[in-house]
Amino acid sequence: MVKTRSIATKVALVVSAVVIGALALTGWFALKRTDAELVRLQLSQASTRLTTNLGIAQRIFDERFPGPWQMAPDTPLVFSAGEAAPAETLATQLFKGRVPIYGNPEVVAALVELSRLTGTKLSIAQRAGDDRALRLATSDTATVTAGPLTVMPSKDPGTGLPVAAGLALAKGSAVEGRATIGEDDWTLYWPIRGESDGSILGVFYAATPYAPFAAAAVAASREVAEGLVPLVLAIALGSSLLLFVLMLGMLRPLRAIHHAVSRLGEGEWPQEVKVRSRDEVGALAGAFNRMAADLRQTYATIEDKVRLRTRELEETNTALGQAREAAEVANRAKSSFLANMSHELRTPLNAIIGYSEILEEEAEDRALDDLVPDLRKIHGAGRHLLQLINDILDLSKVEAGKMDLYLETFAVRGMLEDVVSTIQPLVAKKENALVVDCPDDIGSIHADMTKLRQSLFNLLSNASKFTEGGTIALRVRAEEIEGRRWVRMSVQDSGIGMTPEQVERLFQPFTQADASTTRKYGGTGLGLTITKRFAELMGGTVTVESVEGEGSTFTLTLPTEVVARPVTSDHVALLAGPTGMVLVIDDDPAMHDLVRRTLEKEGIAVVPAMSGEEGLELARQLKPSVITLDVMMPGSDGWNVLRTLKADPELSAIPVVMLTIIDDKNLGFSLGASEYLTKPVDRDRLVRVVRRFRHEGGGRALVIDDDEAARDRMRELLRAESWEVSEARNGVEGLEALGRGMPDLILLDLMMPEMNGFEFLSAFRGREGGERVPVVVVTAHDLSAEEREHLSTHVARVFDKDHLDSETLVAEMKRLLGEAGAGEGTA
Amino acid sequence: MKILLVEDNELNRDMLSRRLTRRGYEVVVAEDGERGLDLVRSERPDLVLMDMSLPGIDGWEATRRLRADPSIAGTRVIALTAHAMAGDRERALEAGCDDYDTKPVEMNRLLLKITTLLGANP
Ligand SMILES: Nc1ncnc2c1ncn2[C@@H]1O[C@H](COP(=O)(O)OP(=O)(O)O)[C@@H](O)[C@H]1O
Ligand SMILES: [Mg+2]
Repeated sequence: MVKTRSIATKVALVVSAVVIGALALTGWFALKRTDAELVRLQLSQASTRLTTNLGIAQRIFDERFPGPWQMAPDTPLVFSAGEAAPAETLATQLFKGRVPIYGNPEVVAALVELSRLTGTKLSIAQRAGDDRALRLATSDTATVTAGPLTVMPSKDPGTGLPVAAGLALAKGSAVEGRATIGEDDWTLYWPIRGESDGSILGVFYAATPYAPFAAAAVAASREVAEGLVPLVLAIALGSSLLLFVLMLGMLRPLRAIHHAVSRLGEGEWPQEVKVRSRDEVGALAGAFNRMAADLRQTYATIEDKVRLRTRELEETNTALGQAREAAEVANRAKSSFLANMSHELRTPLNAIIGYSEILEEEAEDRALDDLVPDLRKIHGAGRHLLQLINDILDLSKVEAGKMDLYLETFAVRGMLEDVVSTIQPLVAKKENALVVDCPDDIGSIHADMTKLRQSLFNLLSNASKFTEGGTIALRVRAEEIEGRRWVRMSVQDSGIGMTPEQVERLFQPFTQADASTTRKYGGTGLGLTITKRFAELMGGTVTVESVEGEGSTFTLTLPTEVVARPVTSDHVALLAGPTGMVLVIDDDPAMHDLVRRTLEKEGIAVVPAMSGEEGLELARQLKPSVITLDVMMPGSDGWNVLRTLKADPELSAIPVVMLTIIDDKNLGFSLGASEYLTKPVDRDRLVRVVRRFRHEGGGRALVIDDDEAARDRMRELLRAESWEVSEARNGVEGLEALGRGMPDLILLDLMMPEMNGFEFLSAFRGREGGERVPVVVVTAHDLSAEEREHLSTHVARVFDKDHLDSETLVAEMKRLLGEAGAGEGTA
Repeated sequence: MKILLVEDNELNRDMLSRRLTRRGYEVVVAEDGERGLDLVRSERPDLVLMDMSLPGIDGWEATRRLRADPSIAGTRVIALTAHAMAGDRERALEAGCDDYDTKPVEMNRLLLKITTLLGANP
């Protein structure tokens, strides 16, 4: 399952962060506000106190310094020497009664005393000519000494102007109790009014330091806040937790779906996802459940099919295995039967031959000469029968793969002399002359002596048999081809020779050039077959050249060093039933791999051969249905292999697909290749080609006929020959059927409703690709000369429905398919 | 010269013994390996013609036993077998036979082998 970080965790983290942030922010704002409120509260209390204190101060001043507040009329202020002079000259001076405020120690003492009494800093300011207030006296002695004339720093909060200006603006009106919060102090003004006109002459003001209030307020709210922090944290945490749990709950169905999907992805069948919510998640779960159910259904069907197929295959395999076993058992039985039989046959035969010999000798001894010829005949027939039995036994051993090679090194000349002396009587019998031509330095060969001798004997005895009063030449040469040394032994005669057709039929068991041969010359037609098999066992070949009436030359070529190779019965085990197999001859293992994987997917068995030689041997053993052939290989190259394949009557019918880098189609086709594919391999093409050749004689046929019985008959006939058959009831349907794929061949009736055969033909030939598909007409209709003429140019063949010979039809179709296939190949 | 012919088939035995007798050899016959070995001891033949496929002790075994018995080990043995296969020759030689010939017997060839082995005519 895919590792996921829970969405719930993420959401809870984010939410708690937001909550804590929000709480902190509101807390901070709340604290700020609380600070301000507290300050304001305390200040309003202080304000009351300051007002009271100011009232007290005024009363005491009234008592101490009786008389009204007044300004000295236009008296220039005189500053004491040494004191810093103000920037402006004061136009007036404030008096209480007669007592000047400025510089009067009594006033200052009174203020100091008042200040002590009330705990408030008190000052008196005079209104300057430009309406600015100047401080004249203060309870803060330090300030006084620093300079009596201090321009008030405070500004009026309402107007932002200096307080004195505020006073000026408020001229004539009461500015009573007006308070201002300064930078450092909190100050309360109390206007001093003149007796005469009530105008403001100056200001009495009380101040209290602002900082302690603020500090106290902040401390207080801090205390409150500190009390609240755990609570806030608890709330944040709690809400996060709550959210987490909630999210978890909401996400569970999603998780369930996720889990189910993962399991599905891993090929498991998940339980139904149980989500009952009616939201999107619920809908999703529902959809998923439906999909899973569908899938399961489909899968189950497929699984069933696969199981069925597997069982079928298993059954087929078992059947095949059993068949093979049975065949092997039968084969063993056959071999041992043959071995026993040959023993059983030879023993009485021994007696026949032996007694006839004894009788012959005794007859001669006793001068019973008239008996001798008959006894000789019995003896001859016995020998002949023995030869036959030996041949059959040999052949069956080779066929059964039981013929072993006994390899030894021996002098070629010695062996030749041996054979020649044995054959001499036969040669002499028909007045032939035997010429042996063998170089002195021919040396020795490593091979199976008995088999080589027997092979040569067969060739020489044939030459003697089919030549009269002529010459038989045995020529031996050493050769070197492709780095390998060979011994070539040819037997040439000047006898009856053979026609090309006869040559073609050679080397097949029990086959003679023609039936009259048996009558005239006797023989069984096994000699050449055995000779050839022996040669092949030793890695050699037998070839023939012959001209009728002039003579024949049989050539046996063997490697100087024969290597024993076990018969590869493993390959035979690969035989995959009736579908046949493909033999891949290529020296590149990667190519084998590729072709095998490509074809095995199509159920086609593939047998590998790593060289031309091996390929030829396997081809002979296995008779594959198709051979693919590389050109560039060490040893015998592809062209040679192709030539050999096509020259061998047993193999020449096997279609060969060239699969090579070399692009020489002309050479390939001229040597008999059925198809030419160049590397890199187009796999689809390969499959198509192999399929086409593998179903020997089977292609796709379209049967167009309105007569159901006729269609049925054709279908059965063709299916039996492994054709793929589609059907149509008239020309229109026929044309429709073409849309589903072009057939390899069309069987056409002529008389049909809607669109008859002639009309179909002209429509079909006009189509793309239509001109290449052979059409065979099968009709009951009596054709006029004109119709016949017309058809002959458009169709391959016309069959009479009423006298239809199914074998001829099938053979013809096979032929046409082959032609069409070749046509495609060269295209 | 005395030849012991060990052969289970009556016809072959009769035929071969007659032909050898005609050629001047003294012929003793046995039908199986056991009896053959007995006769080698009692009759002291110069040569044994041993059929290889015999009932009971077969020709190979009989030859091996013959070679194992010092009193008779020097006796010449020619194997006769119906199996005209190269392997049989090796097997026969391995068992201790001096030579080998196939059945049906080709009289001249067999006679040649016999005289070669015995170093003399009968
Ligand atoms: N040298 C030859 N000249 C003419 N025909 C031959 C020659 N060798 C073989 N044949 C033909 O090939 C046939 C098969 O030969 P072979 O397999 O040896 O069988 P058999 O000799 O028993 O007939 C012969 O019957 C004959 O028709
Ligand atoms: Mg012949």
